[in-house]
Parts: sequence; structure tokens; C-alpha cells
Amino acid sequence: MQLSFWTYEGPPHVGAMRVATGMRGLHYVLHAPQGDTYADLLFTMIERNTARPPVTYTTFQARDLGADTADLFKEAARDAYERFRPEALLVGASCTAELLQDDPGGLARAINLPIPVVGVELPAYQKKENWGAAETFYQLVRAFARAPQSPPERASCNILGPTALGFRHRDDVREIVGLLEGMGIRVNVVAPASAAPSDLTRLGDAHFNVVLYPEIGGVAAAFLKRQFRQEATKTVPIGVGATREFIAEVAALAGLDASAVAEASRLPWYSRSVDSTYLTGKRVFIFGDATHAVAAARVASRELGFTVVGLGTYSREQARDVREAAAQYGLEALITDDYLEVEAAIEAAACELVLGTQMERNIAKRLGLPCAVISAPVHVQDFPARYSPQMGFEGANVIFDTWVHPLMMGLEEHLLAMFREDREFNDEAKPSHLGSGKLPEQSAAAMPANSDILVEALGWNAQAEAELKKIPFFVRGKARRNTEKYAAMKGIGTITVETLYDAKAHYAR
Amino acid sequence: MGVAPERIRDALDMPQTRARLALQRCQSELAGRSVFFMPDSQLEIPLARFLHNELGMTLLEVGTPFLHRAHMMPELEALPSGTFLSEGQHVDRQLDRVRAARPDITVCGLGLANPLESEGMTTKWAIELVFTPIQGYDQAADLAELFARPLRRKDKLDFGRPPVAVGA
Repeated sequence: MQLSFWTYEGPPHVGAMRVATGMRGLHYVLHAPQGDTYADLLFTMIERNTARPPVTYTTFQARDLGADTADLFKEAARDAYERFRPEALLVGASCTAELLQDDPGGLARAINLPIPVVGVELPAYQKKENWGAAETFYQLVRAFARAPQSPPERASCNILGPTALGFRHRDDVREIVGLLEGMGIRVNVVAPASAAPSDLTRLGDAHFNVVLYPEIGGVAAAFLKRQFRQEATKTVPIGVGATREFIAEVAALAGLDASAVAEASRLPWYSRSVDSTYLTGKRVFIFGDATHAVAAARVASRELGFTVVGLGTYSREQARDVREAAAQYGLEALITDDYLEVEAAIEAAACELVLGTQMERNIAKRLGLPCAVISAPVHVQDFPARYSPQMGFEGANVIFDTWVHPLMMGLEEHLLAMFREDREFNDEAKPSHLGSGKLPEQSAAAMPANSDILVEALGWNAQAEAELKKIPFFVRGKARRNTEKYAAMKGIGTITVETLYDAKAHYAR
Repeated sequence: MGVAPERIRDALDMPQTRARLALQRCQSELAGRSVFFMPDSQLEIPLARFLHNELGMTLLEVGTPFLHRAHMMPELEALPSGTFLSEGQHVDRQLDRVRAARPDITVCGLGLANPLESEGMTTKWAIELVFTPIQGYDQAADLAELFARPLRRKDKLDFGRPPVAVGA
């Protein structure tokens, strides 16, 4: 086992908590030591939930281990039922409690509560949060879903996947429900988020399933297909192209005419407008859960004209999809849950924009690179007060803004070059929103560096140095590196103005 | 250690006076207010002693995750007699007591702070008391300020009133 002080996913019982907290009328009794109650704050602090998660911890302590922890569990389950009166009880153990082998499912059934009890066994030492969420949701669906009384109308669906603590799940659901209802499709049940166990019994009353987050809803959707022959959508509507494909897919399943759907995204025009020319070929590194990473790569490359120079995921279960997507960009996917590996890959890729999780945001900050967050794990900032979906046409608008704003605009680049010597705009001045004054000396690490080039070893003569300074600072690092690479290649010892322009011509080809 | 008591008094006189002076501002805001400690930081007992003895706050309950009576004896003796102490947690029952007591401020972990705030109560995150330097004379006022600020903020915020329906 690898010890880590930062992880992309929590243990699988946190996934179960995300399902339970998103739902209504379900209470989760978790066999767990006192320390595991920390997980509450993920929901109350990061998502700013106004209520505690519907979770009762047995909070056994070291001194309880000599006594009967099974009794402790039964008492906690009975108390939780009396206090919260849920429709159903979910029971399980956290990583530490798993070692006690107390069988929470069996114990909870033994106390004969008058409500359904669903036990989930989550192997904490092999699996992680998203797997735990998927398994928990599947077990709940398996326990509650009933065959429909009569065949459902064709234009009806469920939405599967959203949970508590998901990246923009709250707003994605609103956007997609609006899109589907606008097409004349009845949304039967949204689950797990906002559904009660009694709603899960009605899952069969829809003709098909819309799977928004395959990491979480995929297993349940496959079960519903086997059980009730409900088809499931394959396209995740992130970006304009994918949203169009999603509409076509949904229309075909619902037997509707897709051409009637109003397209409301500004992204295509904003991306074609001349000021966006500067976005062309910007080098972007992408890391996140599989669904968001693959979708981001598509939007980045096809809809914004960026060049994808790195693509990876921490979702091992979906690694194959990410490998296939990466191959389209001539890349090898980075599959890891070690953020230090991701950091090394970001540095090596010499990218100009990072699209990642909160962890990549921290890495990018350290490296001085622009960054936008595209995936869980989330930070309190990823629950914006405003409506801010990632999916559908409004989601595409949000994506355009959030990915482009961290970058410097094309005209800004020209103005900065023009006013290079100006007191206010010179390249050693701080950005105006940070107050006046000089920037701290830029460290070598802050520049995307090619490690095979030793800057100190190569001599620049004075004129060449002066000429280099005329180049705007944000491309100067690249010009310096290219010139040095060229000089090394040609065996030139001292770089002159001539070398600088020879190199420029060489790389312009 | 053979140091004359007068010398100690002389050395401590200035910082003590400075600390008392600095505490005055928060004293007027906090004196007479009630506080409830949920168990979290393990600092609850000394904090309760400070809030009661030096700022005049009322202690409704002092919960602590683990209580070692022998280690904590001098601190326990400094608490007012009859202080309600609790060890470990049955969190739901303890929350019942918080709701019944309606303290002016509840010191609790991050998992409970927002839910209690949403019920209209004022809270202080225990974790901030662990991360902030709160020891010694010169930090005493900063420590008091950590308790005064949530109360001051509550007084400051004003979102107006929802419009009243015509004819209502």
C-alpha cells in the first residue's frame, strides 16, 4: 500500500455517503471508528450543505474492541431508525471497521426493523470512492426497482448518476432536465441525487436511461438494461458537439425529431470570432475523472482549437476509454492516482493551460500556469453561487468562459508588446489587479523548461541578450529555449543575434 | 530555580498589563454570553477556563473527545464548580442539548458548524483554534477575537426582509 497525503478519491464508503447524502429518505449506518466522522465536513464545508449527511457512525473506540462491537452496531442502527425514521436503511463498514468482520448487513436484518435494509460491502483496500458510489447505487436500484405495470411511453427517461459532492452535478441536472423537457421527454426519476427509495421503485416506468456520470450510474444502468430492457445513453453532453450528438441519441430513443431543438450556445461563434485566433494551438494538459477528461479533450481540440499535449485520469475502471481517446491525439494516456506523477507530466509537457482537478489547480499555481477546473475532486470554489453547469449548451458557454479567461488574450499580447517600455505595462510590472510594483524574479521552474537544455552552459553575447529582451516576455522563454536547442544542435558556442534569427527561421518551417 | 518572586513579577508585569488592556474590547462583547463546546480539538477545557475566568462567559457544556483527569487536574480545578463536562460523543444526543440550550456561541468541528449556522445558531470552528497561534500573553486578545468575530458578523449582516404580499 502506498501512503499518500493527498488523493484523488476517498475510500469507497465516501462514495456510498455521496449516494446517501444526495438522496432523500435514506439513512446510512456506518460501522466506523470515531475518527471517520471527519467525512461529514466534505459535505457541510465543501458543498456548504445546511444539514449533516444522513449518516450515523457507530464511533467505536479502542476500548470497545475488547467488548462486543456487533452489539454497538445493532444499537446504532436501532437508534438511527428511531431518530430519523427513514424509508430505508443503508448499512456498511468503513475501511477500519471492515477489519472487524462484523457483517453490518446481517446484523441490521437481525434486529427486524420495519423498513427495508440494504447492505453494501465495499472492499476498502482494493476500491475507491467512485466505485463505492457506483456499487451502492447499483445495490439500491437492485433492491428497490420494480417492473412497470404497463409499458412506459416512449418519450420518457430517468437521469442516472448525480450525487452529493459531484462536480457541478446540481447545475448539470437542471440543464439536462430543461433540455429533455424542452424536447417533450418526461423525466421520470433523477437518481441518486434528489430521489427517495420509493422513487427508485418507479425506475422501470421510463423507456430509457440518460447516464450523465458513467463512473457512478453505469453499473446501475447496465442492470436496468438487463432487467427492464431500458436502453442507456452513451454520449455525455459536455461541449457543443457532444450535446448535439446527445440530442440526436436521445431523440432516436424517444422517437422524436431532433431538429426542433433550439441551440443556445455562444461557444461556436465566440470560438470563430477573430479575437479567438490566439487560442489556436495553445498547448493544453488535461487530467480528471475519465468522463470529464475525455470530454475536455474533445472540446479543447475541436471546439477551441487547442492542441492537447497531455491526457490522463485517476479513474482506473475507465482507463481504457481514456487510452483510446488519448490515441486520437497521438498521446499515451497517463493513468495514475499519484499527483506527483501528474505534476511531473505537466512540467514535461511544457503546456500553456492546465485543465484538471483541484490538485492540478494547485500544481499549476506552483508552476505559474493558467488553469481551469474540469473535474472532481472538488473544492469549495467548485460550488459557485451562480448557475454554472458543465453540460448542455449553457455548460458550453460556461466552459468557454472558464477555460479562456485564465489565458492572456491576443490583443492583450500585442498591447503589452507595444507598451513594453511603458512604466505601467513593462514586463517586470505586476498585473494591475495585484497592485503596482515589480514582479518577483521569475524562477526557472516557473518557465516550462526542457530539462535536456542547460541554460547556463550556453553563452549569449550582449547584442543577442538585448534582442531577446525585445521579445514579449510570455514568448521569450520559448524563444530562448528554441534558440539554445538550435545552437546546441548546430554546435554553436556563443549565441549571436544571427543565431537567434536563424533559430526563428528554423522553427518557423 | 532560585529566581526571586519580585524579579518574576517585574518580568511579567508589562506583558500581563498589555494582555489585559488588549482583552478589554472583546470583554465587553463576550461577557455574559453563553458558550457550548462540542468535542473536537482537545483544547476545550483550557479554552473554557479562559472564556469563563477572563472574559466572563457562561459555560453551558464542555465536551472533549478524551478526558485524562490526572493530566487535566489543574485545568479542571480552575473551572467554575458545577461545570457540565462530557467526554466522547453521542453526537445526536449532544446536538439535542445544543438545540435546547440555544447557546450564544457553539464551538464545534467543521462537520457541524454549517448545519448549526443554518439553524440560526452562531458557531466557532474548533480547528481554527488549533491552527492559530493562541498561546501566551500577546495572543490572548487574538484568541478572544476568534470568539467575538462570529457574533459581530451575525450583527453586521442584513439582507432586508422578503416583500410582504399585497393584502396580507
